[in-house]
Amino acid sequence: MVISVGMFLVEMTPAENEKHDQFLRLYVEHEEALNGFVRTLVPTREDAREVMQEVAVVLWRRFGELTAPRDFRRWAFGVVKFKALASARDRARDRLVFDGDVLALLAAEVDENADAYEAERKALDECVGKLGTAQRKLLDAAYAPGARIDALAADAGRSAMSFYKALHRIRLVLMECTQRVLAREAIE
Amino acid sequence: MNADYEKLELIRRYLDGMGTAEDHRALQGALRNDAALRRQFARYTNLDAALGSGRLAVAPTNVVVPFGSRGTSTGWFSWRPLTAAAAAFVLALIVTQVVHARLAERREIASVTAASGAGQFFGANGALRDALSIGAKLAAGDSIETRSCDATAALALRGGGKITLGGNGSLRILEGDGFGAASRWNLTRGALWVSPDARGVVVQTQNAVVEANGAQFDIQTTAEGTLLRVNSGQARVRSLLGGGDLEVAAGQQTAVGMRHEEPPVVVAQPQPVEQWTCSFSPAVQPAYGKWLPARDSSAMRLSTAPLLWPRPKLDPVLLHVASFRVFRDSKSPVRASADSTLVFRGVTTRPHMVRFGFSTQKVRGVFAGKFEIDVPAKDLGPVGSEWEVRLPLSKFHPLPPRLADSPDGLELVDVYALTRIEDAGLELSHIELTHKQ
Repeated sequence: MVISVGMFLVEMTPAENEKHDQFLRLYVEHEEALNGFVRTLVPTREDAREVMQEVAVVLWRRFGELTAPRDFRRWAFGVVKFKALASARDRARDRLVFDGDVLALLAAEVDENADAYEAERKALDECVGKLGTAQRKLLDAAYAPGARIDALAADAGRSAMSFYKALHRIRLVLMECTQRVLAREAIE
Repeated sequence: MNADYEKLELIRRYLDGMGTAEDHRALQGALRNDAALRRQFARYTNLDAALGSGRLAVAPTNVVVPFGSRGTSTGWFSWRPLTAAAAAFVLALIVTQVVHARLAERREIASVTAASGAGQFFGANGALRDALSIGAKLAAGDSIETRSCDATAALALRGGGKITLGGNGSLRILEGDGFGAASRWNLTRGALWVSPDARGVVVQTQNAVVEANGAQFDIQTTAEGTLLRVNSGQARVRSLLGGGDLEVAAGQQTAVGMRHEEPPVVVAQPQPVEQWTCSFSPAVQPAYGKWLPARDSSAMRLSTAPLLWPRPKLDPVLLHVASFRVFRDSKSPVRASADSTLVFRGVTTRPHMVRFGFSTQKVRGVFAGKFEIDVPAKDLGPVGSEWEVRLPLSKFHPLPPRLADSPDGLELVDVYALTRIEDAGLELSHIELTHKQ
């Protein structure tokens, strides 16, 4: 297998190939949880994407330190915390970022309840499926790769604020729906 | 004074990169002290991240489900004196109408007849209006919200009857039958009142479905569940956590909780009382504020939490609020009378005027207004020492829109103390309503 590191293409040995496959499997399995964790700790989606990229690089570099695959999520969360705190420190001068103690409290919340958040993400599919056509269109547009809310709002002849609020409303509907789905599943 | 909406709005502004420094301070302070808000925040970001990481590409799209066929529904037709054939005909007609309404055009199900305070309209097509305009027509998929505890909205149903949404409420029209004889609503937050001439009303909350046909009832939702009170006619309620239907008759109520192990039971509505002492028990979640441990031999103390208070056509104002919902603390409705007195004990660590207030509703009825009084810092005594203020209700002044001139005969909904803009370190340790015998 050939992977790119910076500008260089690197040929991997069979052992490295196997390690890389294992890493990819674990990373893909937990990517959503890591994304959610990063999003909780980092104020904007753009910053979150940047932190996720840095996290992925560190995880791959230090993958050899992972003792057991089942510990991947906890181990990766540790890396996320470190990177998110570093990002917050870097951006503290020009952004409104939370203090370290608040970030630590938020990290503990996600870390301790990671399974519950995973269940909510799974329930989300059913809830997204129940949205009306207009809401679904708005959601698809807002979360399309590279989407810019101000541009979408201008195209629709609306203010960015009203677009954000409509999006907020849909998110709240989805949050309520996922709770109902999980409550129903709990008794089934 | 349910502050969920304000907190979620702070979260939204922060995550959308639109928050001000003041928003940021308020949100950070609240997150530092409120574990429930941290969970809410993490749930919001978790959902945002999941939507942004490709889940939408694989999620199914909407399928129109016929009225009444969902897992949470309803049984409304079984009540009606219709033959099976007639019911089938009506059902088929409704299905046709609903599908037609979804696919072709907006069909009016209700219209706004009155609105006060800050409100919002969210159209099924994504339209958003920062006010509820009188005469606005509502169709399936539309939502309205009241954004403060003193806001209300009254809706006239197309088939007759009225639904009133109380403060800090959110109500969405799920479906209507197309000819005004049945409608289905989702009360996601707050309280609503349905008039007895409303036909075929089905209201779904976060954990219950209520159905009624020609009954006067009200529903209150809180984090603990759903409270249904029926004042005339009869309603049927079903817990979404399982169990069968319960019939609730006039003069009865039932509380549907969030725990599967505690099935709802129907009981007689308690009679109002005219005296009340707040328990200051940590088991009772304050509407706003945070618990502090007892000092010396006193009870627990409730300190303030920051709240951005929305104002129609004005910037929101930052308040520091400690507030209790009276109905959560008292098993019976607490009724105010002209010669009642509210007693507050507390401390402030900085000299500042404190505003005391309470919200009311008609006993078993709709929101009836807020009443407030300001107490200057000099009347509270030395900073850091415990003060007691005894405030006759007759001295409180009604706030616009002045729904009642006096609180006499009204039910207390919440009681609060606050400082505007500055945090004066306000803590409450005792609240009591006394009544001159």
